[in-house]
Amino acid sequence: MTLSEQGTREYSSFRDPSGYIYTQDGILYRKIAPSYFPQYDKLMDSGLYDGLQKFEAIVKHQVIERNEREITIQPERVPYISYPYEWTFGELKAAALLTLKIHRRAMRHGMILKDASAYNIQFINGNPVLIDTLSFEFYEEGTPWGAYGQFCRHFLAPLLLMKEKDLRLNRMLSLFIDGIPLDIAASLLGGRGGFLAKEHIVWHAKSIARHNEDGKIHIGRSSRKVSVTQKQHMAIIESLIRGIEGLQLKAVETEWGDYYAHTNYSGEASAEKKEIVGAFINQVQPASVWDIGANDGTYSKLALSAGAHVVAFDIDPVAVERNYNEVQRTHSSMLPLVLDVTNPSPGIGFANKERTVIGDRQKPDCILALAVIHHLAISNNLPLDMIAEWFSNLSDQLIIEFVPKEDSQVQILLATRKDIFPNYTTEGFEEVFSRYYVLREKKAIYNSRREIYLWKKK
Amino acid sequence: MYFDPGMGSLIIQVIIAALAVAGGYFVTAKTKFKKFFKKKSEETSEQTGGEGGEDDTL
Repeated sequence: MTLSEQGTREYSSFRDPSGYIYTQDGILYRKIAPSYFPQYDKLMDSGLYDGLQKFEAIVKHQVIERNEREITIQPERVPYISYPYEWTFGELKAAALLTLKIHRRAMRHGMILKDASAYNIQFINGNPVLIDTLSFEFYEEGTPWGAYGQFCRHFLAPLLLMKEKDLRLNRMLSLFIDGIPLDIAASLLGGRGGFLAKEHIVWHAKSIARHNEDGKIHIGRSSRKVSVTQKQHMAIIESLIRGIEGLQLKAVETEWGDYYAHTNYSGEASAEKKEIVGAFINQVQPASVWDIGANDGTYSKLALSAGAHVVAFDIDPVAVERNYNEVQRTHSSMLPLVLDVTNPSPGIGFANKERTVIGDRQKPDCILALAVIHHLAISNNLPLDMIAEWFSNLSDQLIIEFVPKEDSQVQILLATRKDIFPNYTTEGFEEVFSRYYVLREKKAIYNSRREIYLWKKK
Repeated sequence: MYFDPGMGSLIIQVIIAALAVAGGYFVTAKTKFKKFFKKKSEETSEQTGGEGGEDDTL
C-alpha cells in the first residue's frame, strides 16, 4: 500500500525534523524520516518498546509501510486529546512521573527521552501514555539530560505552583507553550516548595540567567564540555521521581468541591434524575459524550454505563481531581478535565493551531449539560440564544436540565444581583432552543421545578 | 553535550548531580536499615523475593 501525502498535516508535530503526523481519510499516521531510522530501530529492537508496552506507557502502533525514504506507522488513536492547562494536579503529576520513568527505562537500553513535553502525554482510561514514538535518542556517555529544562518548565514548575500557591496556576501553561519560565516560577513560589524547588527551579533559573550569554562568549573558541556521568544522570532522575512522588495536595475546599452535599435534591429526586438521564442516553446511544459541568462525574457514569467515552469538564479543580482519582482507580473510559465554559482553552502556538480549542480536537455525539444553564445564563449573563448556538455547533444531541428562577439554587444566584433576565423562563428556554433543535422528549424531575430535555439538532 | 542556548539547564545538572548521588545513597541506606529492623521484629524467615527486578516497575 502506498500512502500519498495528500492527508492533512497536523500542526502539533511540525517542529520535529524526525517525522510528522497527518490524517488521511480520518486515520492518523506518522511518517518517520530516514535520519531517524537508526533510533526507531533501536527503540523497536532493543526491547525498550516492548517493555514500555508491558506497562501501557507508550501508545501502540503498527508499521504500514517501510522503504528507504520513509517509514509510515499508524498509532492507536487517543479517545480525546487534552492539554496540561486542562489537567488536575493528579493528572499532571501522573504525566510527570511517566515521563521520568520512561526516560529512566530508556537509559537502561542506551537511549534517552530527547524531549520532555507535557503535550507528548495523553490519557487513556485514566492512565497517562506517551504518544510521541519519535521522542527517543541515543544516549551518549557523560551527557546531561538535554530535556531537563523542558521537564522543569512543563511539569515541575506548574506542580509546585499548584501545590504551594493555587491549584489553578497550571493555566499559566496556556500562556507559555514551552512551559512556565523558571524565573517566573521561582518568583511566584517565593521560597516555598522546599529543597525540590530550590534545586530544580531557583538554582536552575539562576544558572539559566548566568549562562544565557555564554553562546556569545564562546564564539570562535572551542566549546567547554559539560560532563555528567551515567550514575549521576540516573541519580538526578531518581531524586526527581522521589521528589514528585512526595508532592501531595493539602486538603482544599472550593465552591463546588462538595457540591452534592449541598444541592437541593432529595434522594428520591436524585434517583429519578439519574433514571431520566440514563434513559435519554440510552435513546441516543452515543459513542462519545461531553459532560459540561460534570462536577465529580456522578452523572457522567450514566454515559459510561451506556458504553460511551466521556470527557467530564468542570470549572472546579477539586471536583475534577476527585473524579480523576476514581477514574485512575477504576480505569474507566472517562477523561476528567478542568474547563471554564465561559472562557474555554484558546488555540495557542504558531498560527494559533499547535494546541487547538476543544471542539476542533473532536466533537462528541452527545452533550450532557445538567444543572449548569443557570450558571451560564444568570451568573455569567450569557444570552440563552448564544448558549444554544454554541451547544448546537458542538454536538447533534443535547441532554440539558433547565433550572427555573423559582429554584432555590437560582434564588441564591439572584439574591445578590438585580434580576435582568426576563426571558429566563421555561417558555423562553424552549422557544430559544427550538430555533436550533427539535425536541425529542422532556421530563420533569419529581418534587422539583426542574426539567430535563432531550434535543436533536435541526 | 556541548554548550548551546540551553546551557544553564545543563550546567546546573553538574552541580546538583553530587547532591542527587548523596541523596540516593541516603535513601538506599534508610531503606536497608528499615528492612533490617522490620525483618528482625517480625522474625519471619520467608523470602521476600529480593528488591524487585527492573521489569517489575516502569
